[in-house]
Amino acid sequence: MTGRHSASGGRTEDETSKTGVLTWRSRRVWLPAIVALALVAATVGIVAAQTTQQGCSDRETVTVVAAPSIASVLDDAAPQGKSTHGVCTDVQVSPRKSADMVAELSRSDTEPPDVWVPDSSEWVQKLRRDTVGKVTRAQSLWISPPIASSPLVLAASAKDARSLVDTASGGWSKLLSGGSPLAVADPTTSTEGLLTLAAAQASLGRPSGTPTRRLVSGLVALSTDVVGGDTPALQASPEHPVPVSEQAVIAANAGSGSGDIQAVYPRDVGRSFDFPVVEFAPPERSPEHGDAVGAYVRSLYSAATQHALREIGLRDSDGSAFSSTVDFEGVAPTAVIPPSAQLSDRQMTGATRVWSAAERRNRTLVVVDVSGSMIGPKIRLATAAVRAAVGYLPDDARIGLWAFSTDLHGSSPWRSLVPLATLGSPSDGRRQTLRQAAGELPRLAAKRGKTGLYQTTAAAYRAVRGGYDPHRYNSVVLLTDGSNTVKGLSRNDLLTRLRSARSASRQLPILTVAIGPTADRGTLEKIAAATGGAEYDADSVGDILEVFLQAVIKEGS
Amino acid sequence: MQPTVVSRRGVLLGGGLAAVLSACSETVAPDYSSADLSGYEAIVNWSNWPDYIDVGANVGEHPTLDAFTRRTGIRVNYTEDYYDNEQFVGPAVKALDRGQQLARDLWCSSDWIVTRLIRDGALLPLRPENIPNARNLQPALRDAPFDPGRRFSLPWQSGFTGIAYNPKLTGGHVETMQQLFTDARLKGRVTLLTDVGDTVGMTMLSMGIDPATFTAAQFQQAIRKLDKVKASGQLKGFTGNEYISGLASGAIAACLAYSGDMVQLQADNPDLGFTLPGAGHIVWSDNFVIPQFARHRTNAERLIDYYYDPAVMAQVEDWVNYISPVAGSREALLKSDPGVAKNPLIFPSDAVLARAHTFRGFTADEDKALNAAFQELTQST
Repeated sequence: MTGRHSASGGRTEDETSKTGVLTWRSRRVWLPAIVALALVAATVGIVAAQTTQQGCSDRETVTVVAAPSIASVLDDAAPQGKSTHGVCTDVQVSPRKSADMVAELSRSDTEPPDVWVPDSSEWVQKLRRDTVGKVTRAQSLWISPPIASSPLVLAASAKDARSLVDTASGGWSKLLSGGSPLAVADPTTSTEGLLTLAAAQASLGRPSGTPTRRLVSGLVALSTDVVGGDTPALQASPEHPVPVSEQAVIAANAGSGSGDIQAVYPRDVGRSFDFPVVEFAPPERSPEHGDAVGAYVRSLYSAATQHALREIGLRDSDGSAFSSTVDFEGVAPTAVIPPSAQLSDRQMTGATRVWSAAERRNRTLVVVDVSGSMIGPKIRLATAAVRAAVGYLPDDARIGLWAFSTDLHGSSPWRSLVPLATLGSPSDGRRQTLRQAAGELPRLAAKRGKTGLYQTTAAAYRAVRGGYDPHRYNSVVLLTDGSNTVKGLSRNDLLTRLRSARSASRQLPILTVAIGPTADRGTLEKIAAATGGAEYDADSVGDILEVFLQAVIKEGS
Repeated sequence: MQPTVVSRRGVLLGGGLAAVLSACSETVAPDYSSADLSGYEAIVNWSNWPDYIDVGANVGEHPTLDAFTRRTGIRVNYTEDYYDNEQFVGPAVKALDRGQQLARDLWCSSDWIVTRLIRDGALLPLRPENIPNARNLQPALRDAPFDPGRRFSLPWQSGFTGIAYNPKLTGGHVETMQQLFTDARLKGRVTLLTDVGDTVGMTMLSMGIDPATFTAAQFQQAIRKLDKVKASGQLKGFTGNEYISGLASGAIAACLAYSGDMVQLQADNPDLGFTLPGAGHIVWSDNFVIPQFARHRTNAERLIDYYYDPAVMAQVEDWVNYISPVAGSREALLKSDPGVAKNPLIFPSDAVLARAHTFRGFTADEDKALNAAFQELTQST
């Protein structure tokens, strides 16, 4: 029983007195002496005086969920059986992938642990984004600074490392456009992938989060290299460079007993794994429990825990060099690598969208309502949404654009503005064609036509089914603020047609976007359900852009 | 922010030797009230309603809170986990009754439940010497019926309860409670609020009863009126803030609604109407309160003082669009965002304020019966 959580900085005095208390107690010092000292030191545990040497007046269990790479250290760090104020603390540490934990905590019925230590602050931010406006226990969260860090590096065989260093000297932008594949883990389920995505955004994207050409092509290249959901296992001689933490390289080399794997540091070392401490503290948490959790959290910043973290190859939260006494293979222990500032929510959402668009491989017909009720902000925002989507989509996406109302093309209620075809590079001019066609929408709405919803839906579905591409995400995105006001095809006939055409091997969902209170949500839901699609709501006009992008591109969830 | 290693129970400085000795006996609950750790832990733990403060570019960023931390060095653990007065306060008071300290130093409770908190002895008084800016409190709010002299509470935001409607569905204005209750065009598409002060208070005003001074019998009279309205099939139901989506989507034709919500809804749907009836409307506040045994009482008071700086509160109003309890914030906003400063729902005229009424809380004797009557109204089918 020593003062294991002695800490750095100006807290020595407190630590000393705490250690002192524990010593006195074990000697069963005369009670009034303790009281007198308590008043002087102001840090004595009163209740502790009642306990015997080993006894605990009470026990508190602190539950901790930690990223697998750090869990064993956090388990050892726990002040097990150590009593503060006579309350003994048991700490239970469970290793858990951060992405899985975010998914679980986002649900309303999840009872969070006392403490969560993920391997990146990006996950905490994602949790906050995913739970905005939701009633969840995870809303009661307090965030403390990271306890450690580890830069994102490229792990390569010793042979490849030499040539890779040249490319890496050009930073992530060079790495992502250099043409040599990286073995990337899925950004939606792994921290390695997520930080690689962040690195791409930081070096190729814009601060506003709107996509750039370079980001789109960089992520398209990256998305073809995805090796699967989980952290790639490091082999002695990886076939392709693998973005991982520096600590993973240290651990792999320690395991194999050799320095076969080399960490290559991109010059603009953008991203680091960091390990923030998240405390879930419901208002009615008891003070005894709060004290136990607080003591545990403090112990994570203590010299002893920090020492243990350095030993497994994690840097301090500032990214300082390792001390000269450690001898890690394959890395640059004397380099100082400060973590860079976190990206904004907009940047991460933007990057995730570009990623999803690259992965989804759209073959999508966008069908926009241009009936009279769309006149005004609605149609202008629909135009802007179509134009924005063009920016997120990769060159090989196939996109078409239709408008519908009444009598737009002879007697048919729809008109094809841009037929389904590959976008191609900017020099192909098709992106420009689409943007211009989107600009036609307000002019068409000015004709104040009615809403030929059913006939148009049936025709759009047929159009996409013809030329079905089994390697792509074939879909119709239908945007409307109204209900069908044209005779010719009944709702039942439409739904029957859609249901009978549905095929498990040839999925063709219709994604509907209902704008405002006048949209016939009931029917749109049925259309979506009949085709395995989904109904999206833009309750207010201002939501059109976001909701449309979700429908076309899908949020990376 | 570095965590410190001081234990709460160690700091019984105010209690003296006797208190310390008595605390050694198992039967005496520790005296947390004197254990303000503000000087040792630069932290304050604050629970608030969701979306009720200014926000930065990223989720969880609140510029005024960040500025407070920069100014004072005090970190704010700001949690948006106050969803409902009863649900938050119920468990909290139970814990306080057991002598248990809470993991919160500060939260924002609606007027009527502050009545109960004060009565139950669940709150620590606010010490004026630590909140000099409290002098900026709007004169109209100084003497709340539930907390004369504001010894225990200071408003965070105020707002009006009024009648919202969608003219496309109602075919015209909805201007009185009577119309809300009886207009056949609204049948089955009206919602009222699950908060007793709003729904019963507005009903009382339409009946000529003063919601600040009503008797138990008058309360029951209002409940009987509401029972009849409910039996007539006029109501779609009782809601919390979820009326917002119903109103936007057209599921609700008319309803009781909060002014701040309507400012935001009308920005998207300029057609939506909002009426403060001629018979009067309810003005309410959500109030800063500090619970017994608060571990960072002084820090909490410093935070309140900070928000009572008109320039700081102006930044909050610019986001939340409720009514500022702090005099001078309108003048501060006139420079930065005149549109908001001139909005009568955010900075109401004296004439509108004169028609605003507060709903008094229940006395200990009334509490059970009157609450039960309202619960019966809202929850039975």
